[in-house]
Amino acid sequence: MSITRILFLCAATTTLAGGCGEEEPGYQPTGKGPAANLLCTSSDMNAFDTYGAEAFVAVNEKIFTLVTEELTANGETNLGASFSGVADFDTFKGRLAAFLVFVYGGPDRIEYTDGKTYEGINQNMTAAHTGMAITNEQYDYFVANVIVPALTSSGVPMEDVGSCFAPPVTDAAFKASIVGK
Amino acid sequence: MTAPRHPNLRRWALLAAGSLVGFTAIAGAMHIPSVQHAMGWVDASGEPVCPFGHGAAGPRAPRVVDTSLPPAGSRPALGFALDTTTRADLDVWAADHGVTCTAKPRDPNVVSCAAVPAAALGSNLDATTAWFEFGAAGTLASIKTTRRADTSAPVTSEYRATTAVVSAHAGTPTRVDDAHLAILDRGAFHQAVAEYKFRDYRAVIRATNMGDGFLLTEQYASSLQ
Repeated sequence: MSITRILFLCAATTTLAGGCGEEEPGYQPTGKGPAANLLCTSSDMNAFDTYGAEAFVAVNEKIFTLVTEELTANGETNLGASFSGVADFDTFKGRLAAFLVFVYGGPDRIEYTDGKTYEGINQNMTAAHTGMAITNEQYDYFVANVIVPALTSSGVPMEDVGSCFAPPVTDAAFKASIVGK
Repeated sequence: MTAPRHPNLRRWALLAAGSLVGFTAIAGAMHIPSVQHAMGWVDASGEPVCPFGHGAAGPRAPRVVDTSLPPAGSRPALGFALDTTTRADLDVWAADHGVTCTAKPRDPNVVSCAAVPAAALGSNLDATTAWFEFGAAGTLASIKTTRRADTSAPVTSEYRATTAVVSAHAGTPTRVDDAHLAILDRGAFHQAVAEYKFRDYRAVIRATNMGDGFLLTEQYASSLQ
């Protein structure tokens, strides 16, 4: 085989598989949730694999801190009935954390800080929000005043907030499963 | 054949059990959404509600006034006067500007006004919704608004104008994080925020890229009720 042919084959292989030397295994996300293949700018991995379970717990706890502040100050004015009618806040926290972990590419289920196991997979957002009559404006308010601050105040850089956290929340189908039900 | 030893006791027990089952069935039926809709037990948004008021909003927790903070120079709130404007004043304002406002039956102190024109709030960007909350004394405790635009320019312009007004009248903001204001277009959830905290007043203004448009949210609240 001529040198030229070898170099050509190497160039082709480099383009297709990432190099002539030892082939690096491709990135394999931990989970299979809807955003499992959505890569963060900072890491080229999905949100769960970039930040890990502890960061998801921190963001989840921050969400509830901000929600509690809203409910204390404003009742359900701006958030709709998503949180005000919750009888068991601890279970709600665990379920939301499991849902977030699953959606962003983590495992199907997690053990939360209360020691209980919660399933993120198979949670039905439409069923969970039916009867709440959440408006577009309440959804917008919640995203801008709870979700974004929870992420940024937990140390997630804006580039990753935009690249690997925002898309599932801004997805029209996801929003439609919550608003107007 | 033997007669029951306590015929009256058994009759009362059956009666009590029957009543309990009947009451439970009726109470259960009253909480089925389709029954609540059929009976007209719904709130203003059409949401089914318990006819006995179970689940209705309770009184808001009292605020704790932080005396370590200075008082605001004045308390701008989109032309309304915190701790002074009443529900009747709001109705007059709504009529003057052709705005439709609805109070929640379960929480009449909370009033939602839809499609508020910019002029009604002394600004340049229409509000998609404005929420007004009245305290126990019947005076305005807080205002929240959401405003949307398809492009970033109207939102960033309104953010700058609003924060300039609040800073000039109330005082220096506690927190300003508007490094992303000039680059809101770069991606979803890019956000600028200005937060004001005084002994008697709180305000938070945010400009956010929502992915499908741009959003300005404002909160103005009295810290006294």
